[in-house]
Amino acid sequence: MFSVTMLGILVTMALAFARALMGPTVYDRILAVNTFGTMTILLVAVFGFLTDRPDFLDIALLYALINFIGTIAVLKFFEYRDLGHPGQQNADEEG
Amino acid sequence: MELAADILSWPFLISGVLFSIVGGIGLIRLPDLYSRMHAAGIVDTIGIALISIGLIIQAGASIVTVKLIIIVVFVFITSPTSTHALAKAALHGAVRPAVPRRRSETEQAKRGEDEAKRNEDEAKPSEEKAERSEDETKRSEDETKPSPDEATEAKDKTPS
Repeated sequence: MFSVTMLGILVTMALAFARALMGPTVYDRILAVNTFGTMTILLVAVFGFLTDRPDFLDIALLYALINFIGTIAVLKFFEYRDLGHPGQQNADEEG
Repeated sequence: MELAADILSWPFLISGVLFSIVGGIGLIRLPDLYSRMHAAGIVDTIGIALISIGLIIQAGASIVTVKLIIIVVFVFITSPTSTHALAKAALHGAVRPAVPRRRSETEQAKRGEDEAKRNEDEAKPSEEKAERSEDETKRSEDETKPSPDEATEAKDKTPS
């Protein structure tokens, strides 16, 4: 049962990976990698159930955190070309 | 008990996987970034929710269930946030939607406005004409193309 679920998740990951390779703009790639990360969370969780070791869920939780932070960091880098950029509002105040 | 849990969790797991695959196909097939974000939303919401519900039924009441709920709540909060940030960044990065606005629609709306204004001007002298001009406005909105004959007709009707 869990192996069928894992197979479906892997198919979705393959589709997201294809879009990450094809993506005409960098934003398409970021979107595809975000989806890929979401499916990885599920894959790790289901794998834990498949091998009867649900402790894997800690890793899935950690992956969810890193996925979000990573997406936001990459988006900020491509918007401002600098991860230490203070952002739009502060930049305006500084003139 | 085991069998009951299996029977209950099967539909959730399978439908969650099906929704995820549909989202993945949408990610490949849809025409531009903004519609692809819509497809990715399927995976991030109903896909992860249904699969997690299936796993929760399998796990029963334990710390595993709590962890799964934490994962789902976290993804439900972060997924819209990152999608919003992505859309904003893409707009700033000058990515335009691939599907253009329908030209005839915008033209029609503009013409409708102009015609309504003209009819308003014409209709001031009497109420009878106001009614007629209302009809004209309605008709002109329904039409796709204005024929020149109609325009002259409208002019002929106005008493000078």
